[in-house]
Amino acid sequence: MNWWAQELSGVGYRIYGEPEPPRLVFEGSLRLNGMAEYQPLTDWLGQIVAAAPPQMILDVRSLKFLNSSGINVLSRFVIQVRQKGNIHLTVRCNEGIPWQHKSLVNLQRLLPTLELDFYHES
Amino acid sequence: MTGVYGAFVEPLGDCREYLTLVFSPLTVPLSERWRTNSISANFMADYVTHLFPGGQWPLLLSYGLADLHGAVNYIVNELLENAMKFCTPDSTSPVTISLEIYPEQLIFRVENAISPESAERLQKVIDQLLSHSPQELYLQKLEANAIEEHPSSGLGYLTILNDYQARLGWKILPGIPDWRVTTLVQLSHPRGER
Repeated sequence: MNWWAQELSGVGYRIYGEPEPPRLVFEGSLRLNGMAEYQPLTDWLGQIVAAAPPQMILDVRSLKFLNSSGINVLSRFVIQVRQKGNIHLTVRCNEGIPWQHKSLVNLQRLLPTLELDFYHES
Repeated sequence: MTGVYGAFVEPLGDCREYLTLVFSPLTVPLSERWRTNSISANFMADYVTHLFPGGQWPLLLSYGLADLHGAVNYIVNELLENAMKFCTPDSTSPVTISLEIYPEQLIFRVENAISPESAERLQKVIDQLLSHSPQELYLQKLEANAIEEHPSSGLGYLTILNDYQARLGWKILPGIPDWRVTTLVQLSHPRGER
């Protein structure tokens, strides 16, 4: 199965893939309980690193909330992308959602070539 | 012996405004009410950001509504997740969270039962937090979590310190059979203001 032809959803959130441009779209609020509940997402991100698309976008513009376990999962993915070395990663963010400008900047410290694109959306 | 660490303070004498929620574990175990943390966090954030008529609260004015709401929502959620995760599983004593509202700062105070073993682990986490720069420790922790096979995240306190520039304190009180831990977060004006 292609990495993009998947979807994860639960109470208050949905994550789905799109092939063109290659991206993972996050919607809602992600507050899962520890790394065990995040395992399906961790596995999916691992498949993306293995598939190594030259360009990859994480689109979190509609992700209103992410708890620290979720921040850990995204950070782990960014470190794996850095280790892989051949994926150009962009994160599409929403200027109007406070956690994003507080926490996503740390991802650039882990991967200096990461692009953070902030959009002004309500 | 009672241990007090970091920026812990007892409630200040001039605290006239506060909001306290108490979670009793008698019917649904605390670990099984995870989904309610978001309801509590959203409510507390809504409450403090709409408490003062016309928004006339110095802390709210310096943050702006969206940023203060976001900070309170995040911090309450992380504190409750920690309290529900690490409190003694079969304890019948409640988890309590209070927001103490001062003109220039907000104090979050969470109290829960904890086993002596968990208290010992917490003590090690506190020692580490108090002896390193938050940003350095945060990045170290992210790198370490990426290597370990089944890491527990452990990032809640570090994000509160690093991303929200808050101060943390703890009081650990031994008892029989359960110990009690109080975790405190002080949120003041954003860096560069005041």
